[in-house]
Order: sequence, then structure tokens, then C-alpha cells
Amino acid sequence: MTILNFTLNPEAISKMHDALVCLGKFNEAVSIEASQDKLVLTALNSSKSAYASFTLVGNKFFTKFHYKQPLVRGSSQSREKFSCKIYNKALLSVFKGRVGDPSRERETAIERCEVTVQDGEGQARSRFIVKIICRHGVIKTYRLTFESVAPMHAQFTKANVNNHWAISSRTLREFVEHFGPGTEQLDIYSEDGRVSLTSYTEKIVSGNEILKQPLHTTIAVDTLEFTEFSVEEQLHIVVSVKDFKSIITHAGITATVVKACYSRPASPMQLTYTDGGGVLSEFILMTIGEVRSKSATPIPNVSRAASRAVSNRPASRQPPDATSNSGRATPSEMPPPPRTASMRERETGKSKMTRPSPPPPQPSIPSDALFVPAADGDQVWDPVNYDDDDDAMLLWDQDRGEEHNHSATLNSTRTQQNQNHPGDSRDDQNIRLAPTQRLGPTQSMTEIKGMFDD
Amino acid sequence: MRFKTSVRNIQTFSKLTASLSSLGKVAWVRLDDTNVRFTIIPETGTQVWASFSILSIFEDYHIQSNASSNTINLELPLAPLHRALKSALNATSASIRLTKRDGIPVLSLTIITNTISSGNSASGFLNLNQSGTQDPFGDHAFREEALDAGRDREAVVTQDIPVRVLTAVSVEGIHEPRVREPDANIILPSLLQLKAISDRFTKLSLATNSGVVRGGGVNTVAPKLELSANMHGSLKLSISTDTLNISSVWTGLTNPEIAPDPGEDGEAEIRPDIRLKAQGPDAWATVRIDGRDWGRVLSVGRLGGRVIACFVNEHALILYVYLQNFDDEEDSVLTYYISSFTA
Repeated sequence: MTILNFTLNPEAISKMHDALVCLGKFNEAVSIEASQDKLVLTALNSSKSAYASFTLVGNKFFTKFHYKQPLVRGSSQSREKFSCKIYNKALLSVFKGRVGDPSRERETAIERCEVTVQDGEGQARSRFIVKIICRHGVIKTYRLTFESVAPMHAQFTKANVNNHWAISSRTLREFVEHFGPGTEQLDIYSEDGRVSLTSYTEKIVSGNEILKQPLHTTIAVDTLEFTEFSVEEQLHIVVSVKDFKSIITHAGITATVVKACYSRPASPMQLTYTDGGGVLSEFILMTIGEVRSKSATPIPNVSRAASRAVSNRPASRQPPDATSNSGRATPSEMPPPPRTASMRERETGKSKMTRPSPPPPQPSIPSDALFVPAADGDQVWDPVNYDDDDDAMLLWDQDRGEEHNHSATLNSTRTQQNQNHPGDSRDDQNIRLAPTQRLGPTQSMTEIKGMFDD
Repeated sequence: MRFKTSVRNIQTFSKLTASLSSLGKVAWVRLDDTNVRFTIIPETGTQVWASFSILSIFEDYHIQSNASSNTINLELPLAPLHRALKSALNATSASIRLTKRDGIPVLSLTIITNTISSGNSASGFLNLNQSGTQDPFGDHAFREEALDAGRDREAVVTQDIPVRVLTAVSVEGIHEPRVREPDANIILPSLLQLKAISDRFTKLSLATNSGVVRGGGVNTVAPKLELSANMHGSLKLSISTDTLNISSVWTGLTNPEIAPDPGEDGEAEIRPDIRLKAQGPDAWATVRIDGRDWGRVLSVGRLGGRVIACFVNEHALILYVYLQNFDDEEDSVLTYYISSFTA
């Protein structure tokens, strides 16, 4: 039985991709909740200290959106919401981002994407079916399995929130980009019209280990940098820098305003923004328990204590329909096979098999400059990382390995490619050349000339 | 012990750290009244001794130390330094000082940068809204600004890099390698070209080798590039594996005159490079180097300097990389010591 179908235009597909990349930084699975007028994608991290949610507004984000309320088993009542959980990587391999060579893209450009969710008992199949309609009548169909469970939602009560600020997402991203890798906490503090953001770690080290300490970064700016700033003076609020970075990286994709609300340390902080195209983003982060004194001496165990406090915080709760329809959510009555575990098993099994011919990573330098890469970026000077493609083979046709990707089912080769998504672990220190040139069998005369003429 | 300076040339300093960090994680930095020196001695691979006159990178330089001749020796992790300098690339000013944070010595880099989007914070929205509406008269070409928006807003970014302060005793035993007089001296061609071809050769040999041992799965033998120079303006780069043999030759390069070391009595024998020159263009001085290591060395090309390569036949290759656009060129040089593998 079809419960839900919706259609996405290419722009919405890449927005979906951006949201999934962001959610992927919190949990490996995405919870999807559909209702009459919206689709909500959420992820809660394993320590339950960070929660991410994207609300896609039915009549704004989608070209078409239709939700048909399924009936509650054994009664004539219909359910207001349908929810399921899907492995993020499976979705990411379907909803691709803007990446890729534009000239090649034109040939196989995506025109739209139609999604149908079917749910049924017994013989009926429960599937999340994605049809990607490309130019020249190419249609790719992906049938994904899902797990029918109700999501955990974190709730943020605005009642006693006394601190809030708002700032341009681009400005904030610019700040966050100064933070180097390896730190754990982010301290937000304001005094006398100056705001400081400090990225630090509390690990105590000694001897030779000192040099392995991550960069300790402080950014001090005027409160005028914020479009709105109303925060208690001299209040230290500490959140996980990694979570904060993940959020701001996504927020910075569009020019918008990020709003933050919080009360005291050890209470949650809410970050929200909208992109003007039907996506409402909301994040709830736990802040770390103790107030850091001004001459902060390292306090070990703070972060651990905090995450413990978070895990039993009252804010996260099962949504009401999960309990009212508890029969639906218990594993014993769950429809046919799909379990996350089996999904994962298949993933890993397959990715081993397909290993010898990974798809070539996106070249960072146009590979048609055969010997001498265009000298536009400083990266051309970075040493080539030969270890990275130890599977490099002399191939006549670099696309050969991708042929079977056009089969209709989810293919783990694609999944693998997405694991390397630059946003995943953008470690600034590891800027390196993607293997630029597979060996072509020949080179044209013009290229030979170009090389030796100068 | 005090050290405080402004960074005069952030781009150069950043490129320098990028080049050095490809060869080693940690550098020994020696600061004194006239020079700053970076030394990298990895367990295997190429050694670098990079010495700069203070003014080529810094200005307003203050150093004060109890050690003899006012020196400070530091052990400095290069990756964090490079990451920190990245924050400074668009800065209006950057300064460095040696200080302590929570009892740990740090080099604190203070960067003052204009927040480029201070004007943007509003215009980001304007663009978004206006994108649909046409403006036939160009009336919107004048961007109206609040009185406040024209003001530069500054962000002060502080990046603290952990360091270890070394005692003079612990570093006094470390000396620059001594190598006999070279057989050939040559100015290298464009490093971008040289690097691209070297990387390709290395990759080719890796690919053909791994093609053979595939299944065995062992691919530990690093490919050896053979680099040769004569004293008649030619440089040859070649690689040979079981199945292929390729070389590239550059001609018309310059063999610079190297002034004889005044310490040696050069009159007694003829210098080896003069001897090689007399043997004609078919006489080469050759070294065999690790392809990957060479690729890391060549990343110094980003500094855009002039490079003189000195070949000690079958023994070592020494590169002198001079910083571009500095009058005191002779004082600022990166020296790479690359030892040759036996055939």
C-alpha cells in the first residue's frame, strides 16, 4: 500500500543531500516522519547529547507531496504520522549532491526524482522507492529497505530561555573555519560588547605529547557582528565543537541567519535557521555542565559527566503516537525482513567485493592537462599520496568500473564513493591531490606541444 | 626568555610551512638576532635546513634570551603552525609571541582580520530576494548602506600552537651534513613541470609494479627515480622497471659557477665539476632517489624560488632553494640534503 509519494526537483535533491550529509554527522541512521503537510528528517547521536532535525514543508519544498494516512492495524482509525528509519549512507548514495563535472553532468542531468513509500503486512512489501528521472529517458530506480520505528525527538522548551543571539550564517561559518582539527569543546562567552568563541581541549598531556595538542583557537568579535545579541554577561556556555561545526557547515551553504537560544550551562541550546526554500533546520545541543571560571584550569571528566546528565534528561521522549501505536513498533509484528543489522551486513560484504575498482575520486585538477596541471591552486604542490589509490591499475577506460552502477538496485560502489564525501572529514591538514590522472593510453599532439612549448 | 614579532610576509611563511610539513611533522626552530632557521631531520628521507634573514618573513622582531648569542631553540609541530597561518591569509596583521597557557609553552599567533561578511550579513538576504526581480534601470546599482556598515569590523583570532623550548645543550650536537664537492651544478627547470613528470613516473612504476605483484599484495618497494645532470646544461629524469624504461631530458639549462670553498685549497686539485665539464656532454653525475620522497621535496616549488641542484655522483643531491624577490637572497635559502640509493 502506498503511504507517501513526493516529487523533488533537482535543487531540492541537492538540498536533501546537504541535509543528509549533516544528519550523517550525528547518526548513521536517519529517522523519517511523514504527516499531512511535511516530512521531518531527524538524527539523535548515540550519547543523546545532540539532536538534528530538518523539516521539509510539504507544499514548499516538494513539487508534489501526497500523504495517505495508513490505517491502524485492526481498526478503522487512521494514523496521523508514518515513521521509519533508513541507513543514511543508503540515502546519500541516491540523493547526490552538486558534485561532479558539469560537462558530463549535462548529458545525464537529473530532471526530477519521485519517491514512493510502500508499507504493507505479510506478502506486501515495505519499501522506500526512489526513481531518478534523467534526461534521455534514463530512469534509475532504487528500492531501499527501512525499519518501522518511531523516532526519538528532543524537545526544547523556550519558557525559561533568557539568552539568545542571531548572526549571519556566512559570518559564523567564517569564524568556525578558524578552528583546527582535534579540539573537543567550544566555549561561547561575552563581556563588554565583545564575544569570544574558544575551541579547546581539556586533555592533559605532558612531555613529548605536548606537541600533539591541537590548536587552541579564540575568536573575539564585536557584538555588533551579530544581528541580535542578548546574552547574560560573563556566562560561559560550552558545547561540542564538532557538533557545532557540523551545523554551521550546513547553515553556511545558504545565506541565512542562525538563531541560538539557551539558558544555563547543563541545559540544552537550540540553533535554528531556515533557507527560504521550505527547509526548517533545528538542532538541540547539550551544553556542558560546569561553569568554566575565567582563569580556566583544565577540569577532567567534565565532558563525560555532561553526557551522562544528558542521557537521562527529560527533554527527549517518545512521541505520543509511538506509544499509542505500540503494536506497530514492536519488532515481533514488524513487517517483513528489513533490519538495520542486515542492511549493514550487506553493505560491508559488498563493499569488499567491489573493492578492486573503486570509482575514481573527483579530480581536483582538470585531468586534460596531461602532464602539467593548471597552476591555479597551491595544492598542486602537495605531494601526491600514492598510498591512497593502491588499487591503481592501468586501465584503458577509467569509467569501466562504473558500468554496473546503472543497475536498478542500490549498489555499494556508490555508497563507497559517498563515504569519501569531502564534507565528512574535512581535515584541513590533509589537503592533498586527488589522484589526478588515470593513465590514458594516448595523448593528443596538442597536449604534447603545450607541455614543451613554454 | 622573550620572543615577539610581527609577520611581515604571511603568504611566504605559510607556503614555507606547507613545504616543510610535507617532509616532517616537527621542526627544530632556532631564532637569534639575525636569522630564523627551520631544521627537519626525519628518520628516513630528506633533511632540510632552511635559514632566513629575519626581514624576509618578520618585522618588529624582538628576542631576548639568556642563552649564548641570544638564541631560542624550539621544537615546533608544523601541521598546527600551518593550520594556524591559514587563518592569517586574509588578515590585516599577524603577530607571534612565545608565551604560556595553562603552564604549557605556546607560540601564540594573534591575527587581526576584517570580517568580510560584516557588510554581507544583510546583503546576503538582499541578493536572495532580488534574484527574481529584474531591475531595468539599474536603480539598485547603488547599494544603500547603514552608516554603521561602512565601518570595518575586526575579528581577533588567537591560535595557540604548542611548542617545546629546547636547551642549547640538547641541540648543540646537531650539525648540517657535510658533503664532498659536487660533480655537477645545474639550475633546475620549472619545478611544476619537474614535479608533474616525476609524480607521473613514480605513479607509472607503482602501477606497473603492483600490476605484477597483485595478488601477492606486497607493494613495499618504493620506485627509484634516476636523476642525472651534466655540465653542459642537461638534466635527465628516468625510471626503469621490468617492463618499461622512460626518461625525460631537459636541455639548455644553466650550470652556475659555484665559488670554491675558501677553506679548502682549491688550487691543489681540479674541482670535480670542472673535471666533469671537460669530459663533455656525455658525462653525467647521477643519483637515485625515492620517487615519493622527491615528490615531497618538490612541493617547495610553491615558494617560486630559484633552485640550484648539486649532484654528488652516486652519493647525494643537494638542493639550494632561494626565496624569490628578496634583495638579501643569499641569506635566505632552504637546503635539502637527499642521499642517493645504490643501484
